[in-house]
Amino acid sequence: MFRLSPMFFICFVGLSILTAFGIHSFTSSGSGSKSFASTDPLNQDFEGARSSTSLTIGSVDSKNFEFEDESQCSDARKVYERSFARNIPSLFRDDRVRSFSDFPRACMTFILNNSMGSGNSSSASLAVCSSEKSGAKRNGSKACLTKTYVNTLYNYFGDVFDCMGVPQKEYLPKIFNESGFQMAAFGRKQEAGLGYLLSIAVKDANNDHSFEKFKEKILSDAADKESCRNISAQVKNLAPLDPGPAGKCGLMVSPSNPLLNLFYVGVKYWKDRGYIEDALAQMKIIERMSRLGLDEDSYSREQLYQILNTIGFNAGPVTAVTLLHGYLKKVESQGRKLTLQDFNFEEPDLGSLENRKAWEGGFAYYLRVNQAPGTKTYGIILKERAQELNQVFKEGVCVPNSYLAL
Amino acid sequence: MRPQFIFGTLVVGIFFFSHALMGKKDNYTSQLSVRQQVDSEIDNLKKNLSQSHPLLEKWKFLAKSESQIETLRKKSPLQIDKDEFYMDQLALSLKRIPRDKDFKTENCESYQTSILAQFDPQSEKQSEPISQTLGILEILCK
Repeated sequence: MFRLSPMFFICFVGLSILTAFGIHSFTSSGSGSKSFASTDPLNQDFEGARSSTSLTIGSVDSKNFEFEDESQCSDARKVYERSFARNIPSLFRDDRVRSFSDFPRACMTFILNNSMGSGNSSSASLAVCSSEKSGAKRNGSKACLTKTYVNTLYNYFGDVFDCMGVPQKEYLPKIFNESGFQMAAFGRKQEAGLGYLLSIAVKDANNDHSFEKFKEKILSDAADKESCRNISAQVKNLAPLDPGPAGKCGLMVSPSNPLLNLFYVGVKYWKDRGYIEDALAQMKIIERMSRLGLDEDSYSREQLYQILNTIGFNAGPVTAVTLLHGYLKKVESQGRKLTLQDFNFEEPDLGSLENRKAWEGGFAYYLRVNQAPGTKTYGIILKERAQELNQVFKEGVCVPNSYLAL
Repeated sequence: MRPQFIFGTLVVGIFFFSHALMGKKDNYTSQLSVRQQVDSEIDNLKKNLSQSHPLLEKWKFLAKSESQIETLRKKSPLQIDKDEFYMDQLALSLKRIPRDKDFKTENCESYQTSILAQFDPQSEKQSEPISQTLGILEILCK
């Protein structure tokens, strides 16, 4: 009779399990599915989405803060300068004793000098508009960076944002990355002007009489707020724009701009804020973060809101909250605690295994893998832009101290 | 029965049992099927809404589909990130369609604008869940 020794039986069982494990691992690795931690297939996308900059930080030339002399600029570059001189009150064109901007004018001059190329050459990212209602054509020129141009932008920006209660420094990395404070900025998706406004943002701001409601608010606040008082006479005459291609120049040409474009940015800010707050409540985000160990004593809800608003510029405000909702589900399923480090958008030195592990477990990396629609690395790119500003200026001067961090 | 046969059966059995246990960790097949079931529910909803029912009936169909999707997701394990995101966006954007007395066909364009502004402002290549929701809105607005 054939008999099996117990040891022989154990060896066979062990061998079977090992073989099954080997085959399982082999088939899983060949399935092509991307795990949360996989990086290689995504690197290309990441590099491609990163916008290039020729800026050399550390040896910042004083030219980066200088104005241009009008006589050095071609006629095409003097369009705004001439329009401002004719149509914009001196209250905006001249140096002011009291500015409502909460960052120095040098931040704006630096951004203007370091984006959208330089000199008299034309760019496909800048539009040419003959009037408010003309169709926008590409290959426009960068505005001549005279003191008048910079003052006008700086004073309107401060007045509109202060009057409407929009955080100013939160917008500088976005503007640095997109319009570069060029009033004729014209993106690939027809994003228009200073605020790089998409058609849908203009359409939504015109919806539900929002445009008129915000106008009325500014006019009524003018009694108590100097910044509102400064713009109230011109705000009275603002009218909603056609959000389609025919209305693009209306977001770029002077004298209705820069006021109209900045006003739309303000309306969009408050509409998006409402969308985000509703979505946070609907998905019970604050309570879930608290259950995961991050209660409101350890972070500011306002800061969380600003992170979502920034991601929402690109992905959509509710989509930004859905992505956070998805990230929290992942953390919940891992059975781990949530920490402030989960919301770090600054890519660390990935040479260290510990750094890489922490980075790949965070919200910024989750977005890099899962964000759709929009640019997967949008938050990371804006953080880099903020760091560029922070290296030139002292941290907190142009960008809030805790930009894209909890 | 020959011992070799018993032993062979045992080895094969253990092999399949072990493989099945390990396979449980990645529910790739079942993950896809949850999303497919959601899509199938949306297809049925579109069919039902397209047939000529009074608006009141249409709200019932919409609510029923939303509830079925919610129940299906509750009893299913967590899916891969991409599918979870798809189903979250779909469920959330559907909820943005005004119901009953709040729904007015003359405001359909503004409902569409609001959904795009919240979920897909770039709408260059419309995202799948938002495209599904806008498809349903379009039927309701006819």
